[in-house]
Amino acid sequence: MRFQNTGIFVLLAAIVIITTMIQPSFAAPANLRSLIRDTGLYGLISIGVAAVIITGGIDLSIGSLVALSGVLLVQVVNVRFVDTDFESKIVETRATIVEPFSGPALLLQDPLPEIAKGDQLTFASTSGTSSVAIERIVNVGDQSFIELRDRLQLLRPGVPVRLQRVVSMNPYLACGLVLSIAGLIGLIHGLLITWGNLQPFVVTLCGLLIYRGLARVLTGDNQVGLLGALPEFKARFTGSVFELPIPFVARLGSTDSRWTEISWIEIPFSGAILGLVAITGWVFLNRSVWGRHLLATGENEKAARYSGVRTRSLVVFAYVACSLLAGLTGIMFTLELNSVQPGSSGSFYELYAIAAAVLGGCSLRGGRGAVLSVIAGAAVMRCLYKAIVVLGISQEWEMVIIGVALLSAVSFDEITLRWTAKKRRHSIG
Amino acid sequence: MSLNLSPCATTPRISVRGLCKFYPGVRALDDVNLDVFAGEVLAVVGENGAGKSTLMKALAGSAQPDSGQIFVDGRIVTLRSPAESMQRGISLIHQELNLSNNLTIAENMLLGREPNRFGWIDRVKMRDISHMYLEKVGLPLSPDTPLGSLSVAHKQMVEIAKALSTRTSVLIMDEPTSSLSHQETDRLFKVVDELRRDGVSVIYISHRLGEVHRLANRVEVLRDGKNAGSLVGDAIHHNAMVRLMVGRDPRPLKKSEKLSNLKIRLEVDHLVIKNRKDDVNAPATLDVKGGEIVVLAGLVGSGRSELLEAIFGVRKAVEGTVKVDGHTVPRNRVTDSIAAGLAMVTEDRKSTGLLVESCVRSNTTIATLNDAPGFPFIRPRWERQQTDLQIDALGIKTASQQTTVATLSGGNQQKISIAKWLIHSPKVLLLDEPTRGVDIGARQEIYNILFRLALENVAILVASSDMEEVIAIADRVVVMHEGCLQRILVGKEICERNIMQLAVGGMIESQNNSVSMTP
Repeated sequence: MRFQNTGIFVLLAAIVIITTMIQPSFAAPANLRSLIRDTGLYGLISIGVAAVIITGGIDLSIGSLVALSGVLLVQVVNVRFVDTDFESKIVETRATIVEPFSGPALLLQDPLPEIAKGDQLTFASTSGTSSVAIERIVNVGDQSFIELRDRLQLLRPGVPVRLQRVVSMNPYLACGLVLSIAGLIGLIHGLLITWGNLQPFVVTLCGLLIYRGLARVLTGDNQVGLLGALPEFKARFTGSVFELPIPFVARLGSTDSRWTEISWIEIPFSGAILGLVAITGWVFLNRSVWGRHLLATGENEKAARYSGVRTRSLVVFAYVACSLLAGLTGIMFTLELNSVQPGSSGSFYELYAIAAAVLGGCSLRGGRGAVLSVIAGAAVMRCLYKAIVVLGISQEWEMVIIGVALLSAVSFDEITLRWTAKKRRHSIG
Repeated sequence: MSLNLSPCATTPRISVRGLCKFYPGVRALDDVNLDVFAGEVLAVVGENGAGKSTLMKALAGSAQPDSGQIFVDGRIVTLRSPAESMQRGISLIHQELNLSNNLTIAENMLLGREPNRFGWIDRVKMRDISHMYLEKVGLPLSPDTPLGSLSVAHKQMVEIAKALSTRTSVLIMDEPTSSLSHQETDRLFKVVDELRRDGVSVIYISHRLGEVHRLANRVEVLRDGKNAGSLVGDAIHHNAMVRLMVGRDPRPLKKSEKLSNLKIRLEVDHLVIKNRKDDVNAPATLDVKGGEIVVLAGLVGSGRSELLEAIFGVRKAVEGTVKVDGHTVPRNRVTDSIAAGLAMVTEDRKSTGLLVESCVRSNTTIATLNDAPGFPFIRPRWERQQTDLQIDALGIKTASQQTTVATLSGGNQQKISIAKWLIHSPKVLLLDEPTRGVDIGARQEIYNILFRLALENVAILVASSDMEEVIAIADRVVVMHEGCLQRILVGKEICERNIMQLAVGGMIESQNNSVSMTP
């Protein structure tokens, strides 16, 4: 309990400072924002797997579950276009309308009915039917121009067009559904491991194969996405929630010469969610009875059970939490990237998560773990990744560098542990 | 003190002179002298922390002394590793046996020294060698038996046979009987006697002074890392040893006060338990009154631990009921049992009793967090206060509440495994081997804790294989044999002879005040 793993925070600070000294743009606000966003996404699955690792288990299915939840989200939301009765002819096209509006626009014979973002116009072309997405309506004088998202090309005055409306399921409901499925998957893992007495490694390894396979089956192994639909929803999940004032980075990032200058860094949604989960997780692990029981279960399941701890329920809970966080991360990744590649999205994420948890001081034997240092572990991995990009090292080195860093951190930990154990042995004689 | 009172006045096989070993803050060994002669059993006794283990480690090559000399057969030696010690004929049999359950007896015995022919293991030769040494220790088993299927006693015999097969002339045995039954202990003693006759020197470390009395030619007592004195032959007496060990006269063990008007608090009615062979045991019926200490006696494997576990709800009971203060306890769930006022101090602190890698505080409170104020959150101040209370009440010696339990002595660990149940004053306390691996001083303290709890009207049910303990603390003794409750002994019936007779399945003469077990 007394052993607080401060090494990881030191390592994180060292990476940030050294990289910034070599390449000041590392501390640029935009870069920091994307760092926080990535740390948020990877941090969530790291906390999830940390809960499982504390019980002495492991979850290898995270990456596949990230892909599957992405695919499920796309399929449940089910973006599609429905024909309307509105038909008209193009009267006039313009490459751009009034400044500062610079999108291509066209004028129709008849006034458009009320439209929503993501609706589109279809027209006959040489390759059958083509469509073009409507950005918005711009009123110039008494004329209502339709600003388009794409270029005009085949659209000329006189071409007949038809309005198609975008239809989708309520995205929040869809998220709820996807999360329930992820939670159910975690529940199945937990039940198989506790009541079924199967090994966590085996159960979740099968999960890794099954969920990845399902993601590919459901999509026919094709990339799927939300296209242009649900812009507000996407903006909420990928946008910033609030801004945090952070000192020094302006000077470090060379955007300002004064140390006193404070930069406001936007905190993206994933960062805010991570903060929320981290606080909840910290209180749970360090201040709640269940957290204490979880640690006890991981250290010695039998002794915990003999002390009246409901060890099985806690283990099941850990797997449910892990899968839920993986599902949530899957949703956020899908919205961030706007598409899912069922064969490759989320690959290796379980390993990144496990690495972050181990870096953060979780023992794979169970019974030891923390929340904040696991987040620091995830941040270290993302910072290393970003540092490789910023410093212009070629991408092939990414895994080598992360692997070596992980190995050194773990070895360092083991050496200090052995050193303190030796001291302890000596002091008792 | 005299070190020349040996049975034979030849050169000692091992001679230790002025051995010192310092750990930061502790003098583990302080100018210790020791002689071991051929063909003798030398008992080394002392309280935990007296330096026995360090001395033995120095002899076995696993700890290096800071100063002093070790002579083997008159020549000065340095023992840098267990392998070097073994080369000089010194073998140490650990309390926790160093054998692999996945290998056969023969594979274990010759591990690392397998006889080979052109690099291939010569299985025939291996079997022959193992067979020879198995016979020597009187173990009638095939060398091909997987070790995992053996009882602890048999494993110990294998360990001894293994030591003999390395041409051991000095055998160090560390608490060899701590997990043996009476019968098995007898067999071990026979083997030790034979070894002595063959000229092997045995260094015997034990807390059980009765065994020392019976077995040892000489006793060397250590206290606080120093020689406290030695006893030879007829001078080896329980009280004499204790006096040297603790530096004062032993106190009487007996419970002094008795409550009258005792009420039944624990009722076990026709409890049927699955035993190891997936069979069911005969139904068990017994009761314990508040303020009473009832001891379950019997051989190892007689089902005492299983019965306690079933009462507590960690082992499945097929049928039957357990009542606490007249209320039936829902079966087979620990949380229900705890809520009903049952508590259990398990036999094996490391695997079921404590979280040894966690701190004193979280071990003390783990069993009561569910009912603590502020649930589901833990109030740090409440936790500190409760732990402090228990540390004071039970006299737990620990540097702080954050000390890792693994670093504490056996006695203090045992006190913590009792303390964790006392925060929510249990109605019934079950204890399985409450003083296993606990030294004499702490043992008395633990008995005093039990006596005090009895005075507080707690019903106490203890399983014990330590005959001195059974006789010292029991108000009633229930003897078990092969899963059955044989009989209840009270008052004058409680004696070693009766208990042994019943434990091996025999009968004793009925006395007027005896209570029949058959319902």
